[in-house]
Amino acid sequence: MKRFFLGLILMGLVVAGCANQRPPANDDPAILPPDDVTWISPGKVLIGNFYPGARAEWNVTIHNGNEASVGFRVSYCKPARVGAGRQMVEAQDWVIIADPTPVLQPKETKEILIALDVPKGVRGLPDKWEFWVSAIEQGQGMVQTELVSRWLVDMR
Amino acid sequence: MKRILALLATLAIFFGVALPVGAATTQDVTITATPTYIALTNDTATWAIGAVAVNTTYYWTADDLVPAEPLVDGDMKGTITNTGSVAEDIDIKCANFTGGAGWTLSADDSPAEGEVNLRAGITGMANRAAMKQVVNADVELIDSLAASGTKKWCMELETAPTFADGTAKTGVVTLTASAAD
Repeated sequence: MKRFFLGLILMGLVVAGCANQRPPANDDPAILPPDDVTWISPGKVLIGNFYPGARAEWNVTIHNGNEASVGFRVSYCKPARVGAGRQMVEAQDWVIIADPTPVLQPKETKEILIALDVPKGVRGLPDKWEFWVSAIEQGQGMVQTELVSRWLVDMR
Repeated sequence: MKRILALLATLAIFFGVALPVGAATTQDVTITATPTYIALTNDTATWAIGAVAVNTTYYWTADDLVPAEPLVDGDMKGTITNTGSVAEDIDIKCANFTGGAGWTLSADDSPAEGEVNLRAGITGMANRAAMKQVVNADVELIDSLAASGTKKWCMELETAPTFADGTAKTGVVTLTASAAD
């Protein structure tokens, strides 16, 4: 009987392992951007077959191109505009940012986990919608720059 | 022992068949991201106007004077460069000015007391009337600026006919870069 339960546990672990959805690392040296520029990547994330109750995770990568350490503010951002056929949805409560105030050392690159977690009971979402995740360097001058990663969501 | 093995084999077959279904259920949500990066530089980030008078327009241009029409490179103050890997839309917005009674952003060319009219333009605009009204929300300043592309820009600020106080005000303008469609 012990072996039976042991077998069940092992198979459970196998099933759980297959269902894991960790994002792959964006570490292809062919597409690495310059070191001396502050950037955010990717520019667009497409989530397909999404549905209320599902959770989608992806790493947004931020690079500090400055010679000094810089604090960033990473936040949900209402889109200024959306792509063709998409609608704007107030998704702030569903977007989880693992580290909203990272401090990056000079030339440091850091991955910030972003999760979209829409509760199961939510109704009335459009078929295609969009939200933005932005990163702003703290302590800029009177004119500051904000870099955006667009998240495009296609519902199932 | 045999019965246990048979049961395990049955379960293995069951899970072996069921696994793709289970995986399909949990992995149905797909996530795709292309390896692009978004970056932007703006070479001039300050505008210290100093003391301002009521009902007066101030220019953030090369010579602090009213720009010629149509707007040309030589009159612009700042240069925006798309240092990212794809074409970008550049939006502009401004937070309300702080200090004393503060100023909100006027939605038109006639700022009332407690408001300021802020407008932004880029090279190529036909005239000053075509400059974009800058408010709290993003307004598109540059459409689809190509990777490595540059665009020169300027601003003008018009004060209200009356001031509620004489306290210094500070405003922060934000340029937002996002991947163009």
